[in-house]
Amino acid sequence: MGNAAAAHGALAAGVNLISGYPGTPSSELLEVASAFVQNAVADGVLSAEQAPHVEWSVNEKAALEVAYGASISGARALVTMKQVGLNVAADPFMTIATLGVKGGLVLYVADDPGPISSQNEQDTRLYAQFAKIPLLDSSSPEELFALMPRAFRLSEQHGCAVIVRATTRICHGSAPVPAVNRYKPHPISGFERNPRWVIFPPLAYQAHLAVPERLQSILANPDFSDLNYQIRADDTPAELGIVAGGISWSYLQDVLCQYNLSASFDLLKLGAPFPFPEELVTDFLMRHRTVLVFEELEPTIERELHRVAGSEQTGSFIYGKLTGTTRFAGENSVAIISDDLLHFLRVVGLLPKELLPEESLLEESLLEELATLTPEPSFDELLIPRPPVLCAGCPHRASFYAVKKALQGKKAFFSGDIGCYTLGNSLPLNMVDTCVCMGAGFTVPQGMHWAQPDALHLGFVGDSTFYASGLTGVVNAVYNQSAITFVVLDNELTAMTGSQPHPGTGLRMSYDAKADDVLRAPSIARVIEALGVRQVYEIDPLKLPQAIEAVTQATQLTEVSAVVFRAPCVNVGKRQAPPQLLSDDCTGCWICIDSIGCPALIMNDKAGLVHIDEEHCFGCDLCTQICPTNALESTNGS
Amino acid sequence: MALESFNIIVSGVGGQGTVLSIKLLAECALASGAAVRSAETIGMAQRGGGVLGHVRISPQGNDPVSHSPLIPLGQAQLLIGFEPVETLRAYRYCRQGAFVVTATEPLMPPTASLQRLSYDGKAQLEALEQEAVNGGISQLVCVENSTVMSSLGFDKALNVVLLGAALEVLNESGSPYASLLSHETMCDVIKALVKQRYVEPNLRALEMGRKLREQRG
Repeated sequence: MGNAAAAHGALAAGVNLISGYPGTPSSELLEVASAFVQNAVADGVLSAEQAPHVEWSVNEKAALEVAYGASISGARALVTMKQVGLNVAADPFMTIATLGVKGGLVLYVADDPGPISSQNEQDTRLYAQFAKIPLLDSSSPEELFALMPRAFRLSEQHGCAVIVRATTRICHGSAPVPAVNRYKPHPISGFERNPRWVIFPPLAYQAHLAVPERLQSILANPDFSDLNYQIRADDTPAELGIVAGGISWSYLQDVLCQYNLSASFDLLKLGAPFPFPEELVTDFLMRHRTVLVFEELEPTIERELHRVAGSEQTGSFIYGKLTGTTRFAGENSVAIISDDLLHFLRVVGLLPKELLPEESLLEESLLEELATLTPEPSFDELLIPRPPVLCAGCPHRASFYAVKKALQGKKAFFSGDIGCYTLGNSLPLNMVDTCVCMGAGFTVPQGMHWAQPDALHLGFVGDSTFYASGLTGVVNAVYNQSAITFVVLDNELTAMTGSQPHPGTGLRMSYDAKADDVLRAPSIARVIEALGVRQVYEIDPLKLPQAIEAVTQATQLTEVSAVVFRAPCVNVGKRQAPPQLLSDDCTGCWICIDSIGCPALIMNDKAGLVHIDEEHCFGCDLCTQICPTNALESTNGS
Repeated sequence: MALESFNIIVSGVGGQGTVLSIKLLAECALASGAAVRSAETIGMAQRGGGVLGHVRISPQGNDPVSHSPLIPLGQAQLLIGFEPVETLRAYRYCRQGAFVVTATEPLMPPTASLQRLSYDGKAQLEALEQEAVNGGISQLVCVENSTVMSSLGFDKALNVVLLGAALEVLNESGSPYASLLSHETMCDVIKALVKQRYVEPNLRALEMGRKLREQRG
């Protein structure tokens, strides 16, 4: 997959340190690199001294600062994150852009058009413009592999951080890429004391002044400029020029192939959209009165084209998101680019004759064509939905249910956060009233508390999120005496992104991680106490009566309190025997299903009883504690 | 003119082994000299939700005809479905006359019980059979999960049984793409990719899939 290709590309460049924070779709890069290093050390082909350091940092800000520290020591450093992670790291990012670097510093940032699994559709290309650091944009896994060594060289030659950007379909798409068989570390030159590493206003000013010259020299570097190129049509000059970048370029190739149009238009690929290659673009615009742009997320390229067309007075008409010619939001696809392109060609009268339908009733004939291609009787009523849910045996289900039971009939609001537990918003739990970003689950309810002090306010945050962005929220409530209740959903790993370790687990990604690291891991309850919360309850949510009691007590207090629900994720916990259904006692009331919505509890409408799907049941016994007729009996002897 | 790409859509539920089958298909075509792109849904979609895998095979490895990983709607020539409603859900990716191989055992979506929707997979399989009658599907193979269990003694290799059946359908049809996905190459790929102790059961599963098809034909 693309993330693995990026990992191998970085290893091929001799990267000395990789740090990051998990986030879909970026997470696999660091895991692939870590596995490579651990295997190489275990096989004796890589010595411990030469092995790159690989870590999951506590959050993206820490990850970038760690990588920066390595870079100014002369090491090649890579930091990985998803698009919203760069917001967390934006503070060091903006200033590192001014300070510059020594060893190559590359940020691998994965955008998520759609979005498929993110809270927004932000475009990292705008961050590159904002910070004025170069960005290399990939349109396939193969390109990602090749971009990594380029990015490190550029970073070192120009003394600035470089962003390598990917998007979900590239990160999670696969194509053959040459694997790295031997890792050779980049030689680390060492840190040298110099006032240039200490930011002061005069230095910030001087460094700012140097930016235009740096950007000009980057534009002239073949490692950068080779990524932007034109493909000329057969009949030059073609009337229409098409500009694309990222995965949209690959979609465009497919569409042009499909309609045999590959040689009909001049194409401009922008694989390195910042700094913007004005000379190349001016030449392209000068030769085309009509220019169409395909890109995902913001009209980043399109706006730059308008700027250049204006300043160079090329007289071009530029079409894209800003003109409503292409879609403003969501991800592109072959079908979308195909639709948008054919529609545009018809409107501007450039549709090739062979694609023009005889009666020139294009839309109808296209529809007919589609009808023959796509067998499309309506099966809608048969397509019963299968949305994602919390897994069978997931301890979060028990936690949400315990809070719900404890606060039944009370005026209470529940702020959620980013992770598997965002799924607690779905029925029947319906326990997530707000969700914004990492850490907001602990701070949003504080504001709600001051606005509505008559209600109970609870904030839910996962264990990885707690360390990433939750700590400061706890301190804020203690400091300001915001009488809310923190609920930590501690399932002992970062579940949503693929079971990554975090500080609370003690497990690490580096090859020399030790077993006793786990024992020294901090307890979240102790940490919260140490931050000044006096009433902290630590409880196994699967022991339902005790869990309900803990929530009841914590929420009766008139001061800030905390409940830490601790039980392992089903990906690491021990599976137990499913409960036994005592069919004589089951009345078919469906209270179990309607209360917790566990995927292993199925309505058996033939027998009129509940059915336990033993293949999926994790044996958590939550349902046995809910059944009003005791028809579900635990077989785990507790 | 170069052959267009051969597009395989794989549809199932998280945990059914769809990811391995995508990998096996891709590696098999690669080993046969084709260029391959594939993609799978990961992340939020994984928690008990449907999983879709795309495999796009360009027959000429040195002259790829597909540049992006996702199969456009209506462009798949082969659909491998792991569960009746998931097979039907992915059917919109199929081209007229596609091959469809599906498992028959329904997996109840967790939200269905909550909504009091009954689901036994029969209506979905009937819809597919109707498509086979009216030509939307040129070959439909239904693999009974219970047969897999009874003849192999384990049901974890359903994914490879489905692959075996799909490869055989392709082979029988005389498709120009059959040579890119031959049983022999697939056996080699399984030996190379699957953990040693699972190689033999998976080879048996592949063979079982092939024979399922033979018996029917």
